[in-house]
Amino acid sequence: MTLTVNDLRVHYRTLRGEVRALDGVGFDLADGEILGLAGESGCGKTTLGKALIRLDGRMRHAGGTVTLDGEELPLSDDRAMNAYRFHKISLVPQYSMSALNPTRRIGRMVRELLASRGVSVDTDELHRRLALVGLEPGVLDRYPIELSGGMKQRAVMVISTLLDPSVLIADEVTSALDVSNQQAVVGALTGLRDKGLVTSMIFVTHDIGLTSHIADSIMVMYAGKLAEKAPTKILTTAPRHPYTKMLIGSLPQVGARYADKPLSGIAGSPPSLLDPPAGCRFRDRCPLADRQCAEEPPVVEIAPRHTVACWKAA
Amino acid sequence: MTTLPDPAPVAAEQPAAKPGSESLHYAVRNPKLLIGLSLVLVLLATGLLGPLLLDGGNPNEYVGPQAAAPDGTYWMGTTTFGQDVYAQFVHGLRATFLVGAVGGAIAAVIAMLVGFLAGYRGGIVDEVLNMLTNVVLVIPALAVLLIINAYLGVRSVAVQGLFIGLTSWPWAARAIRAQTFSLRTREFVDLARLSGSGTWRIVFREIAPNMSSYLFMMFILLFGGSILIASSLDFIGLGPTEGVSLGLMLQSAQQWSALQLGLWWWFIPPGAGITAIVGALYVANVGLDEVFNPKLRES
Amino acid sequence: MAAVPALLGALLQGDFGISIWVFPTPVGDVLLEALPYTLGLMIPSVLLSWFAGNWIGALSARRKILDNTVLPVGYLLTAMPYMWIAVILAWAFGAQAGWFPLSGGYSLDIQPGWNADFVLDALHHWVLPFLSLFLVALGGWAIGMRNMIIYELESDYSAYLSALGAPQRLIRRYAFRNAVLPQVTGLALQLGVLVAGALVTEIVFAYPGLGSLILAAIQNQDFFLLQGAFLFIVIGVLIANFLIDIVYVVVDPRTRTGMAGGTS
Repeated sequence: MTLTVNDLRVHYRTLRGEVRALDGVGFDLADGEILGLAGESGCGKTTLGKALIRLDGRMRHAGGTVTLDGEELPLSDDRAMNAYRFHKISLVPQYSMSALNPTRRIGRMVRELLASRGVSVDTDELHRRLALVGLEPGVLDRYPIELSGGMKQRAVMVISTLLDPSVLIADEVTSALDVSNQQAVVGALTGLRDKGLVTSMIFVTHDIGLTSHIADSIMVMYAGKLAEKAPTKILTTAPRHPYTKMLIGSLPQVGARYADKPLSGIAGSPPSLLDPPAGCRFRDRCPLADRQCAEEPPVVEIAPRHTVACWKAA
Repeated sequence: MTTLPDPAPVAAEQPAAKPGSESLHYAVRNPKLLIGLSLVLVLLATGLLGPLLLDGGNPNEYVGPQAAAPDGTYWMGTTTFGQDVYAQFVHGLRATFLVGAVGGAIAAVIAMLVGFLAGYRGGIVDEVLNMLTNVVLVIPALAVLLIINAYLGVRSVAVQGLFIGLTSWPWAARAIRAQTFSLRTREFVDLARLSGSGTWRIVFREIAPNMSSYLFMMFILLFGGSILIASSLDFIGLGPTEGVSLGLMLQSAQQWSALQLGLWWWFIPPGAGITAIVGALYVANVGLDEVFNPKLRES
Repeated sequence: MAAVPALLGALLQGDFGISIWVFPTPVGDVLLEALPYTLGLMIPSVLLSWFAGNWIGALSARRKILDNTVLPVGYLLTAMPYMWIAVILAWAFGAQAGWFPLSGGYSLDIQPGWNADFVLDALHHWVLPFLSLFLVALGGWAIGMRNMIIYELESDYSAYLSALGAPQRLIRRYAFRNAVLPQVTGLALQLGVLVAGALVTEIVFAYPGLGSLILAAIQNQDFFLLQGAFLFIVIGVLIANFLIDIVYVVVDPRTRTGMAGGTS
């Protein structure tokens, strides 16, 4: 296992109290696996992605462990985590378009970054990686403003993976792109994994449809907790958690017409994480909920590599 | 894919707080805004009420002993001519606030007209307005005001404010233009345009309200700047020829050697008054920025 | 109206007319004699306050304790009218403490010239006016730089570098370089204000620069002198603007590839 997350809790400090953004999440990431991390806004997927690499000022590691390549990550210790950042665990951020210093040529920024981290990368190797994502070496002599959005995204992908990290977190990397750019980015990411430049990947997204093309497994989160995690094929065709079923059901189908098959959303909204309700958090919106759901369902492995947190699914 | 029965009715959600009331909530808890605003209001009240509470009459009249230090009767002492410095001070506050308001308002209006038009229309309109802005920007305001005032001779504070407003708008116009640029590509503006609204209608109904906090903060800065420019003009001797302002007091003090004679009560209060008003405005402005900008709040 | 072309022609040749106040000295000569004093005040105070202000602002963005002092002091300084701080300094260090002279550019009993006595004496007279210009401008630059640095430190590129484990000194270096750019632009924008400050400061200290000349011109209704001074100032500011534009092109690497995008 590349990554093992065990009962991870991360809270946000706010003026009104602590928001329990991540409230006990556990999963495994196998070598070579691409895990799609999906869910509504506020479900905790971005917090999870952030927590694994760098807690920002308001976040607090409130419990649980993360083990990477056999070593436990010192999540709360910013300085100690530095040894892992970029080397073992890396990030392609949501804001890739603006992630490059506007007043530095890209090549120079990369060199300075590497020098500051005490590593160096062969220029040929750098060029080779750029070619992998479809960028020519000339990109290094340009300023970020001279590149298109998609090019900047790919450049950031190359930079983030320069040191062959064990885990790459791709945080909503396709959200701001058009369809053809999305395909290019997804293809590039898969390529990175296939060539072994990146061991495993966590692909954070709110677009399950796109994720199903790239991910080996998908983990659906709800209100700070895990709802269901299964291999992609199984999750998309035979989900067991009501929330997953409704999510998949709310996806538009090619060829289906509204008159025949109206799109169904999921009425309501997730509970506040400042003071979460007891029991299953999906209770209020779930068509199958009953008295049993007043008690929080445990995460159960109902089939190999298929875990669900629902009384009705077990 | 299985079809699902309609989900159960959802529990009522909490009503979302109105954006205005949320700002107010933060506003009354922001120390910078509160302190700054209070100081400005105190000085404003002094300026408005102070003259009324005095005996009335011309603050420039010779009423007391010459060059007397502050005491029970004359709280801020007297000038070399026996004028009551305190009376001058409270009248001066009025004039100072007036010129700030007039100058700030006029500059704000021009800046908005130029900035909105240039930012929204773009193209040749933008080019022309940019050129105009640059020309007015580069020419030092004080030099222009010097010439205007010297030739035309300013009588009233309001006219002084007018001229100051006419020369100090460029930086604000630029800032408004930049903001308008970013707002005009938003969907609600597109919608308005599709519905056939004209330029100014869109600007005042869609764009300006979304920038209202920014515009207000800009006005505060223009207000403060106007006060500073006016006091410099007064100091050089190009101030209004009637009445009194804080800048004129400083000019008087300078001219009649208050410094050499050690009459500190003549030159310290007026400058302190200006510093207090402008400083309080700046601090309040920072507080306002924190109120309107959630990102700055929790630091 | 027919006289205007003749006037303009004369101006272009450097003929500003004859001063009324100091009749029959040509205005140009009067102005040129005063110019070195004004430049001697403005150039050091503008440059030093800009550099020092940027440095202090950058430092205070890093350390909270320093920030808590720098901010209020900065706001106080920048809210002070130039002539008031000049008077305060003159009163405190001139009249009360007696360390510095209260007026003039030099003592009247020393022969002007490039000798040590005169130079030292001139410097002695220069300190307080310089200081008042320096302090007020310093406040403004420090606050501006501090805000710019905070803005840069919160930018996406800073966040990305942090996520990749870059050390603070690299991030700070980038933030500083990027924050300086708008400060250069800001200098160009502030020129008018800085000139105004110099003029009124000179008046307070009866310093023999353009400011005192303008005062005299106004008091003596010498319109030729006033016009001449006005032109001098406008041209000076235009030249300074031009120089700053050049500096900006040098400092912002993107301008050399034509990539700066929106201008200042």
